[in-house]
Amino acid sequence: MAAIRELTPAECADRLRRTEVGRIGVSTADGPVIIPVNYTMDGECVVFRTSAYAELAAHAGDRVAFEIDEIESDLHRGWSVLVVGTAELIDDVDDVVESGLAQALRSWAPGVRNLFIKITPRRVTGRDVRP
Amino acid sequence: MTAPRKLTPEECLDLVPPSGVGRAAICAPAGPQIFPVNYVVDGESIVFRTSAYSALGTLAAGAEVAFEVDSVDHDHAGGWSVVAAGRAEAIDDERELDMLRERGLEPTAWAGGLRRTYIRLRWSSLSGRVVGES
Repeated sequence: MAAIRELTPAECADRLRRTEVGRIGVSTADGPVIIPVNYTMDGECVVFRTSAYAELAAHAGDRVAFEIDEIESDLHRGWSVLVVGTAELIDDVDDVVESGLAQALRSWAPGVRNLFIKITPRRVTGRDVRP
Repeated sequence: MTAPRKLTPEECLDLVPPSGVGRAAICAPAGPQIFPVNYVVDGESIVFRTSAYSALGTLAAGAEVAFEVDSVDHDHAGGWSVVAAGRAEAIDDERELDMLRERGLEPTAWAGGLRRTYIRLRWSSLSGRVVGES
């Protein structure tokens, strides 16, 4: 029987800092949308880059979910962290560039991605599973 | 580096492994939520297991669900992502479950525990994109 343990806030924060790709979930009138993104952390906030025309940009201001995980299914072990928060457009792109966040956001999908979105967490939860 | 390319539904089906770990996204009353779960592909649907009392178990049945499977190669900054979206239903019929088991389609539960709620997501859309194709 697997042992499931809730991750502490510090463990969640540590995993969020160590991971590069996560998945954003947003609710739309047609149902949920989920998209993988490169991200970086700015303090407690998740920051990622998107293009003005991407589906995600339309959801700035919304409640969003952000998930990271590392799962070894065959070994029945892994962990996941879920951030629920509000997405906001970062207006001052110069500030982002100067702070070095832009460089940290090596985008998974190349193309024009000049909008920065920041998720301010309301709730961060995680769990760890071991066989 | 090439620009991302949209995948056709046929290409999506070729890329998604017949079973593995994916992420189910649902619209919960307090906002969207994402859960990693084991899945199997059964025809034009995704089947996954959860526990009856989880947020996923209580909210997914009868709701629109987006299910994402991806493979990202960090070193080469490439990969693909496929999303199956549609209405999800709980599988209540024991015979249907037995048929899944007989065909070896019963998804394992990576996290173990009592995950006796089976959800079938018949996708109405299957979309994907690939990045960093050589």
